[in-house]
Amino acid sequence: MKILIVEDEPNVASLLHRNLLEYGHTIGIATDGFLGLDQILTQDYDLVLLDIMLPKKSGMEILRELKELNNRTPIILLTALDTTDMIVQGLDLGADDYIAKPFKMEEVVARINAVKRRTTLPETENPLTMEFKGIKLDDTSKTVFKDDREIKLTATEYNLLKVLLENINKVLSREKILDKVWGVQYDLGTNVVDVYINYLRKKLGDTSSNRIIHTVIGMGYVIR
Amino acid sequence: MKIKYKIAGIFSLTSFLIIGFIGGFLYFLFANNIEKQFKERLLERAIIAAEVLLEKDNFSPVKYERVKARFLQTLPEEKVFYIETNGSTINYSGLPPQIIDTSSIEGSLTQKYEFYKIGDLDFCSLYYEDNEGDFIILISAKNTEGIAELNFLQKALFFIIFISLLIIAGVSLVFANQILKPINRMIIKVEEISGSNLQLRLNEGKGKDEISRLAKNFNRMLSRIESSFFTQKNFIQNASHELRTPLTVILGEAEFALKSSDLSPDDRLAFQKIYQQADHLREMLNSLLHLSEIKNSGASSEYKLLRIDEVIQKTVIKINETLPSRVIHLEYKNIEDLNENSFVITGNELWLEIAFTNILDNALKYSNNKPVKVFLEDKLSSVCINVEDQGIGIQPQDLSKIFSPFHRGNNAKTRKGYGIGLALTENIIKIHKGFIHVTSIMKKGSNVIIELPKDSKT
Repeated sequence: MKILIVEDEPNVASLLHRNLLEYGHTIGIATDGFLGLDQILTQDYDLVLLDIMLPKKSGMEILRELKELNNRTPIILLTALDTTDMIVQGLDLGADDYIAKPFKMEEVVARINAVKRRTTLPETENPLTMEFKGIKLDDTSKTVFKDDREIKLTATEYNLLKVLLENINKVLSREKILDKVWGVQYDLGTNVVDVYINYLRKKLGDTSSNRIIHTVIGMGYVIR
Repeated sequence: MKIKYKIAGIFSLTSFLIIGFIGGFLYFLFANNIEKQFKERLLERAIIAAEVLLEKDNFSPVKYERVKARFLQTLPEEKVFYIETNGSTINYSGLPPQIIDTSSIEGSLTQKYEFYKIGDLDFCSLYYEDNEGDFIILISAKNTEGIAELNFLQKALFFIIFISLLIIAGVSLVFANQILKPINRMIIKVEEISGSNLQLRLNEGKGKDEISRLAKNFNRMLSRIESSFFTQKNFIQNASHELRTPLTVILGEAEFALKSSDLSPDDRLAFQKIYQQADHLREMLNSLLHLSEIKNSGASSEYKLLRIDEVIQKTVIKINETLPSRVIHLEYKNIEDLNENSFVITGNELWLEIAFTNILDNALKYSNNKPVKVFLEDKLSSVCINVEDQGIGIQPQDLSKIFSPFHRGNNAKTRKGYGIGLALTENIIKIHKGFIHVTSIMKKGSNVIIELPKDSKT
């Protein structure tokens, strides 16, 4: 992966640089906000580690400008813990995640992998809108309609419905759903999938007389 | 007792004593005067009686008639007795014994007349020398008019005293209220002031009285507290800022060094220690900063509607991503009854994430690598989150103290621990109007129960 580190503190930048090189990433470094924004816009980075407190241009300003320019480069904020409001603001401005300083490298690596997985997961082979038995999902506007009535879904519910719709007539196991929707590849010992299937059924008005999302006992769920 | 009632009570009592004294004094003067007047009349009557009865033969017919007319204006219950005397001997025969006061009657021989009183009746004994012999005229009468007047006066005085007492009590209560009003206003204002709004000040007023001086001094004290508070807050923020970068570098460099394969076992141990301690410092610094932020900003931070179950999912996943060996099981209870609003609460997502991370980290730390279970339950007006570990447990005497900063249970001595995390968690739950409770069985595990109200704004 090609990663840009925007960080004015040379020791921290060097540390990140050396560690991430070990994981086989290609690294670029910008030491102030001005250079950082310039590099994000001119070079095609897969991910940016962005400090908030930067000379010349703050991380927040960079986020704001990227949002205006509709640049979707994944960004992880390296934040000072001054205020949580700052973090919330950053996430609202389109940052994908945040890491509080001081951090552990293992945490940085984990975050990078998670963001990479989340941002590269969909959008490849699938059509932008899907329709099945009156349920319409529009992936560009992230909206769902049932019989032309808009259904408000949370991000998780939306992703679940999307995964089900992508696999019409194919039974998906709970583990598979957990992996695709939650990005969890291990046993979470959980009934969270059943809960969300339940939420979806209720929101879509999917009653037992008119089932769309079916339970396959011992196997998982299927839409048909 | 409230000062208001004390002031009113003292004021009323003093006024009552003064009025009572004045009333009593007036009554005494009046009674004296009435008695004096009556005695004069009694004496006059005695003289007339003497003139009529002893000198009737000496009068001209006209004068006799006049005297008789005067004599007819008798006093109430008037009775006249004649007592013959001879020198100093007095002949009491024929007199009812209950009306005789010998010392007074004898006194009248030398004093010319004497007054005395038996029961309601006033007596006047008059020594009268006459050409036909010496007599004592004893006249008795009842001062009905005087008694009635005194009675009336007494009633009037009581009535006036009673009424004025009521008025004084009422007025002094109003007055005391008026005096204490600025103090009460101050109390209400002072009650509003807390660590999060030290900028509030009391109304100093325009006057130079004690209350405005008190308010001024109080405000001056508040200013000093506020400035030292901010100095401290800034100090914490600046210091933490300065600490952050070196700590990141120490932690990262140690971590980086540990990756190298050509370290001697001793070097490796040394780097491991540096790494562990730096990590410990990192956790402590983070918690301290959060704690100071939450104490300073309080509940004023942004609240949003959020799905608490999704916040927990996110936390669990984040922990797992960092250390996949840690196992957390997430289970919803009564899933058939759940709906989309089951876990919607108002709160600050980031704060709650920090709180759950702390609790889960803690549970994992002491659970001997056994899975930690998280149960989610919709309790209609609140959401219940139950974190169960199968670790070493907490000793009963430590249970009440685990939320105080820097406390570490006896049991945790052998483990890396930091007391601030749970204090921070408790604070976060508190600003969401929720409660957190820990139960534990030694060697079986602990159970952290968090309950968050769905509408934490009220």
